Amino acid sequence: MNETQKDNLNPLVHQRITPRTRIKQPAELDNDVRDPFDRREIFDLIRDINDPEHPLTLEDLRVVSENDIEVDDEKSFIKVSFTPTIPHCSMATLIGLAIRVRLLRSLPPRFKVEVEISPGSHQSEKAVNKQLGDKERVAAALENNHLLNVVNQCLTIKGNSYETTV
Amino acid sequence: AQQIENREQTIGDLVTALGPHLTNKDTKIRIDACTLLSNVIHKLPKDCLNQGELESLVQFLCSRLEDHYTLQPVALSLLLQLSSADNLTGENACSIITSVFKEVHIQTCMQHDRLKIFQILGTLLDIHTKDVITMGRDFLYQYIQVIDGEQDPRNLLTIFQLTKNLIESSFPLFDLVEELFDVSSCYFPIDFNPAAAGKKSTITNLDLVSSLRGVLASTKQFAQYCIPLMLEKLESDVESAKIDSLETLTACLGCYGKQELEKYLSSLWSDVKREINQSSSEQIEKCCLTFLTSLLSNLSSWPVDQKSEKATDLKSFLDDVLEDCVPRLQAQSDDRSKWMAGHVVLACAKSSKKACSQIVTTVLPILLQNAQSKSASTTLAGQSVQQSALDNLVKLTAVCGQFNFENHPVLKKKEEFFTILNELALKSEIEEQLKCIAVAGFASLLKLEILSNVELTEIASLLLKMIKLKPESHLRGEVLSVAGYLSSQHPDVAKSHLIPCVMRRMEEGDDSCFDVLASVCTHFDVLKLVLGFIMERIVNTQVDETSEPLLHACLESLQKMTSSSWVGNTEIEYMALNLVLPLLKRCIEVTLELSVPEQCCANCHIFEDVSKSAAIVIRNVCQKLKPGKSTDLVIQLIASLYNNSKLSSLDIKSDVHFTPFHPKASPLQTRTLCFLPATICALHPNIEIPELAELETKLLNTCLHCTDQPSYVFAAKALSGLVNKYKKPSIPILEKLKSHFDTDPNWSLKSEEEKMMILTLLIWICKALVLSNHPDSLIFIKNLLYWMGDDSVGEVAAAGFDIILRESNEVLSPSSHSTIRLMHKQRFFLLIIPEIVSSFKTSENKTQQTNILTALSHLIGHLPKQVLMQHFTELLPLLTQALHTDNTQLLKSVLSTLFCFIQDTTEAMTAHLENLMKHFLRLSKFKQDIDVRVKAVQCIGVVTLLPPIVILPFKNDIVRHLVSVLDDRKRDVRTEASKARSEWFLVGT
Amino acid sequence: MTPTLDCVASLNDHGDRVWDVKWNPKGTLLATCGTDKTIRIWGKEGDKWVCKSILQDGHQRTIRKVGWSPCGNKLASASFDATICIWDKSSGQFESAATLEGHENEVKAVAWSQSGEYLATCSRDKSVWIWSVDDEEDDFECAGVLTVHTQDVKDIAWHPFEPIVASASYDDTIKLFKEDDGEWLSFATLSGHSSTVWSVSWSKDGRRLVSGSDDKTIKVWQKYEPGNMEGIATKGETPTWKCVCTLSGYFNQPIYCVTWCHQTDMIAACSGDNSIIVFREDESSGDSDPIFSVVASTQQAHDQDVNAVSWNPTTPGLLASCSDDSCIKLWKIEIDG
Repeated sequence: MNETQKDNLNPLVHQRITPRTRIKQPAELDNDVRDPFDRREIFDLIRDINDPEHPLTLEDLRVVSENDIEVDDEKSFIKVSFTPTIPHCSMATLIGLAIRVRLLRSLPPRFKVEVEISPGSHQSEKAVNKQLGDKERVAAALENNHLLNVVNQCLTIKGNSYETTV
Repeated sequence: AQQIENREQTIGDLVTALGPHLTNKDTKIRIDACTLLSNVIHKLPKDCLNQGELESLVQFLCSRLEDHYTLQPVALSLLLQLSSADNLTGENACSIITSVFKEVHIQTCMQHDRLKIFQILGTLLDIHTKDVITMGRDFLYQYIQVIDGEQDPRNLLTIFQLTKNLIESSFPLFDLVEELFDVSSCYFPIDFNPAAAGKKSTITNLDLVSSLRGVLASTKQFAQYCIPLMLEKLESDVESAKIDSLETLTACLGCYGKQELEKYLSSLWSDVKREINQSSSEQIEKCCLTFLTSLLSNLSSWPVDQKSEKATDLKSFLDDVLEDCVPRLQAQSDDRSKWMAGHVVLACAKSSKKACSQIVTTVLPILLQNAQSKSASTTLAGQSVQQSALDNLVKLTAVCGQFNFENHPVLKKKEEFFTILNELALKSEIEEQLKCIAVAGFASLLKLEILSNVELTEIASLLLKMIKLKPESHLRGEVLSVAGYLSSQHPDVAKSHLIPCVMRRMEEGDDSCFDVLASVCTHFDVLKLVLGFIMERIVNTQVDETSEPLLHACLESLQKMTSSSWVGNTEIEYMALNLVLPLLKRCIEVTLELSVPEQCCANCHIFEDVSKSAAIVIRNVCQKLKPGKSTDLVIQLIASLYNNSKLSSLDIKSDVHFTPFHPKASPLQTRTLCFLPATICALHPNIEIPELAELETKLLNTCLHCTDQPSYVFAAKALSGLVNKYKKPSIPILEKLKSHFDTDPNWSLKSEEEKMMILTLLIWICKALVLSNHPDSLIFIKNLLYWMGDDSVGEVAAAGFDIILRESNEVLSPSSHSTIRLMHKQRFFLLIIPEIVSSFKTSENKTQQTNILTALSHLIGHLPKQVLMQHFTELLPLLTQALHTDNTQLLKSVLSTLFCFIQDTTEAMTAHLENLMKHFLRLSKFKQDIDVRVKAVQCIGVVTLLPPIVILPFKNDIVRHLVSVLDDRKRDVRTEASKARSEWFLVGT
Repeated sequence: MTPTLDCVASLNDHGDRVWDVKWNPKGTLLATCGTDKTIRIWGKEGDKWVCKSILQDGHQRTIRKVGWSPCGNKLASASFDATICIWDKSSGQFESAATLEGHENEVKAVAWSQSGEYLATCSRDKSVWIWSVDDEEDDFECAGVLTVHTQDVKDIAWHPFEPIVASASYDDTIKLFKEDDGEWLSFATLSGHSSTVWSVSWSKDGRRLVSGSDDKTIKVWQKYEPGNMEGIATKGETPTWKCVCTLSGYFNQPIYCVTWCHQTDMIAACSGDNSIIVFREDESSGDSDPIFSVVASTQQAHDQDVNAVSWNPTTPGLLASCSDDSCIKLWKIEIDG
């Protein structure tokens, strides 16, 4: 991405609010107890998605936050609202797509997932939401190799995430 | 060549024989002949050729230099060989040099030929220094011509070395100083990038930088050119150039003196000042400060004109520095400039006693004033004016400690300083961090040795007061270390003041001061006092619930005292007699008291813990005992106590019999065997143990017949500790053990308890032998493998591998002087792997197979990755086999291992990948255990690190399979599944 | 309590999302297609439904929808790769007979006219294409490109007997086109849905149209000829289309497919909420305010979104469905009276 094409040259970088490591509850160690899906778990899936324009994560830029996630494990419903850094951000659809793809790959398919722009945070809120909600368009987009590469880049956590663990 | 060396043929003969060829008209043939000659000479020892031979060769070769230019390379090689010949005369040396200078047009030569020339010059200069010097100005002039314009880094490195040697051999430089300087300094500053140079160069930038620096700083004759050049480069914008200049200047100070430096002093200071104030690089700041320190220590050694009224150069230079720094130090704001001023002042003070004295006199009052400042202005770094002043104060005082003053500059301000520290240390509203600095201030004041006894006492009581305020652990640690220092330097103060105070407090019931006691034991006298105090408490305390914390506190402080690195031989001997023996005595006494059946109750458990703690104290001392009379005495007493059940040896009076080895004795008694690993087994191998054989036999007996578990474990450990220390491979007791393990065919009929006893012994003996690389170790290990087939104790045998390889503190540790060979784990691994593989293959016993795999997983856990990698191909089938098990522990261990190896063993992996993937996928749904699922999914994920071509065929299956794992009931599994699936999606994109 | 649908068969072979399912005109074969870029043809062998053939290598990307020719010998497939493939089984086996290119990007639907004369296709490029079919030659010629929608066109459906085609779009409208003197023209726009219209289907008599939308409602539209008795205003000669019924509250997610059975007059609808619901008009309801009631439903028809449903044209009450869960299911509805 060319420097001059960036929509927002100096995005605010925010301090992380949600700690990196999640403190384990005793129940989580008990094999017999089912851990429900909760907001934190969903947030952990999307916090490290890279912004398409800046070398920062969606969490760094506060595009996503734990509070903007709704989860109903029993009804298999999840809603993620995200806030583009600026109201005319042309990358909003791409960011939304990246979030959607991450969740598509990481969540059990029983979940109905909505990815939407936080109300009032973007000029073309409705249009973007409609696009992101159209599963046919999302499916087609993911068969577009160029777009898929861009999305994959957003989803690549500094190389293969196993390299650091080994 | 052989013939020439043996004097059967002379070189002359060879030359004559080669004659027609050497003078052949065809240049090619002349070259070939010379090459042959060169090859022959190359094989000769340095002293082979005599003067005459050499002379004619030299003449011949020098004339070859005039010959066709294609002959030059081989002639140069030959000359290079000859130049180091022992019998070469100085005259010949000079003529070589002359011819080379005259005949060879160096700038047109190839790099390696130029290198040869420089090497010839270097060798000749080295060996025939005097003769070369006689060549005088001419040589130097030619030399400068020759090296001018060289660009190859390899050659430059040689030239720099050569020039440095030349100068250091006090070769007169005549009127060519500037030329010589120029021809070298033109490379400054060096910025060489080996990678960009393209060649496989082994030369680094640093090599060149430091060898050039060697030239520039080699003589004070260069000073008039060098200093201005460095100052000029210091103004450069490039950080590395600045650093190089500063470091070169610092290096030059080594040979410069008043004459060279005098006229540059003011510009040096102003330039360095500029750099310090402007710099944004920590590295530059550091270099500036180092330079200042060196410059000032140089200045301090300048001759002082006693009569002159004028201030010394040092003083006036420092005046300049202080003029700049003092206002900044006084400033109430706290910023970088102030912070730097502090550093400058400290760097100056460090340089010499004189400088330090002047600095302290001027700066100390300012700092003291600031240290009392109440202004709360905090800076970016979060430091207050007060804190930074205090910090500098402490550092400055610490610097003062480096010098011995007759009239200490701090003395005048001592009281003020003292008061400030006092105040800071005790005021409750002062931050912890500031208090830490204040405490460090006491330490540095103490080191100056200017405090009066009254003041020392004051410090002592102040430290105690601070402890009473229950500070946080960091501050407490600081306080304790100062208290320790105080007592090491002034034991009288500690004895008369510190210790009595603490003791009083403890007698009043405050038990929080044991660590104070332990920390002040930094002087023998103090130690004696404290030890007596603590021992008295232990001896006079009953073992029961109420006294338990006290006993543990006592023992903990004893552990601290005995493990302190300060403790020397005298102290250890003292402790052996006054700590080990009484403590052991007390423990045995309690044992005998408790043995009375009706009292054997909860107190026994308390006593068990106390004994363990006591054993650590005893071990700490015994490990440090040196061979000697008093040591022998102590050991004698302990051995006789155990071996001969002689209570009297420890002066114990009791009606109860002490029979610690007797299998039917009270467990309390047999458990006192825990003191054997701590004593007999912890000793230096040169200390003789009386009646060793008997002791071993008794221990063996306990191992085999005593059914109390802790007791036979202690016995096994003790025996292993003894077996391990044999210096010769023949160990009498080992034969007994061998026959015992071998000849008992009915072991399968024995009870589980008996099997456990034998197995425990076997494991510990294995450990002892494995650690010392004993040749018999395999015999015992095979035995252990055999036991793995046992239904009741097979698992224990497998776990034995863990015991064998795990480091233990209690026994068989380096500090207990055990024989622990380097690489013993690797050796063990190599020894056992074939056995494991073959036992596994041939065994029809399922239990044994499973246990062998468990043992293998322990083995793997303790070995470095590299070793395992080498044997991965052999291991992989076993590991894959192990994945069939339902044993979760084993699964976890194997999966963890595979996780580590998958990416590093691509080739070995590829063949098994399909099979492994099946297991991973199956185990990712392993219902019984979360960790197995987590690790299986991690393995699936880490496979993505393998080359895409290998793993792409699996992609679709895995992506699909993982869908269901994404909905695992445990979050940990889901998280891993999501991570793995995301990575798999990226495979091949 | 409405009766549930009886699942009579579950076919799982695609291994990935199945986008569309269509019965052949005789009701003997079932064609399905999806993300795996294949078309599968299913038929009954004994009591079992089996995959008879797999049509592959026709498309580079997802196959979104398929359409049978009225004769049943040909099958057209629409793909995200911007092409339409024509498959011919006159020789016994399905073979790729032609590839139609012209759309700029993803083709979303394909449908043959009842007469077999025309093929209609639509795409994300906002256009609807009408191809005239020369059956003998397997030749397809573009007869019209209709670009009146402002967004991508999701579905198309031919009138049961007239050369009229209905299209549903992301622009929330349905448009109707007819041939007029060799020219294809849009003659009606049906507005009323508040989001993407995913699917349209005609009633047997061609007087009504049912549509399913992202707004989670189903609408039934009715034609009013000029001078109709109800007094609905019309413009000149052209009839007016009016929404006469909206079914809302039945689905929690977008409705991806509605289909009107020409044997039983039942409407089947399926949704992203995994359910299938079957409606039928109450006998008592009036022509201009029809009432539709649920005759059967299944909440968890599939594990994931249900993408399409198709009525068997010869066996009344036999319904096929397909889903993101990669499954195809056959359902039986017992009809009372």
